[in-house]
Amino acid sequence: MGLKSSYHTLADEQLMSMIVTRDQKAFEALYDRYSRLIYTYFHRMLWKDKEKSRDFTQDLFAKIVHKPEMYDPSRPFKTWMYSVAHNMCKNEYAKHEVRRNAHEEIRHTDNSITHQGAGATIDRTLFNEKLLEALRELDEVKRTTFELRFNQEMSILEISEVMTCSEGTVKSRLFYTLKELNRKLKMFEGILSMLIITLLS
Amino acid sequence: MKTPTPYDPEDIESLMIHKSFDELYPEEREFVLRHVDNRTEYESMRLILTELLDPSREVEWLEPDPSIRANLLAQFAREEKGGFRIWLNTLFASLNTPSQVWYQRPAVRLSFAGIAILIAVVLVLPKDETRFAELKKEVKGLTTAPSESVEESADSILPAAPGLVTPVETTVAEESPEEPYSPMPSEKPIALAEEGASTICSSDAGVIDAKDANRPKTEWAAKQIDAETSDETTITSTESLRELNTLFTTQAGSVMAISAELTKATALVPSASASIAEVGGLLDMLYTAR
Repeated sequence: MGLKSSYHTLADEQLMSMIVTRDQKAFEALYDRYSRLIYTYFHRMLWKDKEKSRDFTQDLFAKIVHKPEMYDPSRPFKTWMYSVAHNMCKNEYAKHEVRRNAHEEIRHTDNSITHQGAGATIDRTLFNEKLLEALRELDEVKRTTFELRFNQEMSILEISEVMTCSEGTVKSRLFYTLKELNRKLKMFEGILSMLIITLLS
Repeated sequence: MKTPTPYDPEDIESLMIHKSFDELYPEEREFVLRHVDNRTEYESMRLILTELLDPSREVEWLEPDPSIRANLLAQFAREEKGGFRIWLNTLFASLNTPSQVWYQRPAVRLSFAGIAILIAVVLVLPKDETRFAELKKEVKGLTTAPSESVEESADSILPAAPGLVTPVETTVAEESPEEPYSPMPSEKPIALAEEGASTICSSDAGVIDAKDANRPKTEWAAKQIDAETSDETTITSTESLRELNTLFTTQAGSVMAISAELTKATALVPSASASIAEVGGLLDMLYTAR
């Protein structure tokens, strides 16, 4: 128990250097720390496809098992891992012509939002649900930026390292993502006003 | 002409987080209105941003399948059995841990340990040259009188264990000690036997005396072994070899008797085949008669 907890207090980079020396406990600690985050990331980025998310999560951690030397110790582990995950998603988008699929999804989501919007209960959970649906309509760049910033709670600097772009670009992308979301959620102005009241109280 | 604003476009997010539309300064409001349509849009965007950045917001985390963990751990275990490896990109980092004082770093410690071992090897261990010189002296002493030492050792061993060692007689060969290798002789008898040389030398291959001199191969083998063994002395065991010789003679006699019997049996084969042919002819006649 003590040994396990000591592993869980170590930094990611320390755990990675121990994994290189084939320390299984270190790998377990790292997996326990990131498996949920990565699995959720893949789930959101890959059209909520559970099978795909499962495979991608396994593939990503298998890279760490088989080729831990791929990790560059000069970089923070978290940004390195998310950049690998991001690249895996990009390859998947290219493979499946994501744009065409996304347009189909947009039409589908539009209908569902219109249908469910009427008479729905106005609460925070509903807002989150609608927000997620609106996010699915975004292109992959904006969706990734949003996911990393607001769900994975990464800093602008970390996102810029993951997406290999400048911090200014990340900020700009976030602004336009927010603007687009605002446009898509206009029909939920009632929800927003309720949220204002909730936040003020 | 518009005056340049002190804001970058991407800073609008920080403005939204910290200020409502009404709280903006005129120049900030002017900057914001370049990017958003109106006050309503600014406020609704601000609300979404506030909601997204709210720490109490619950993000739904999904739990991956436990089989993924099991699979990965199995892969890790298999990889571990693969063998010991050193990853060069992490070797340098692990040897030069920046958090430690310079003299506590593993690389420095290892270097000092290596130098200490090297000094110990150079100073403590004796030099090899003296040892080689001693060995050379010993070798010289051995080569000067090899025959004497062999005889001495034989004399010292035999009386010590009279019951265990069979009686042997050592004779000094009159031949040259460094006789070159001679090929196997042909079937001609050995001259030594004709000359009546008795018990010159013997070995495991057989005894050489006047009676057994009709065996050139045995003589040749004895000579070969004689040349290969000690330079001047040969140890023989005549009694056991004579027993072997008589046994061999009796065995050869029995083999000859068996071969004579076989010759007789083969002579009977043609007459037996003739009689079989006659029986066959009689059977044919009987068949035709019926």
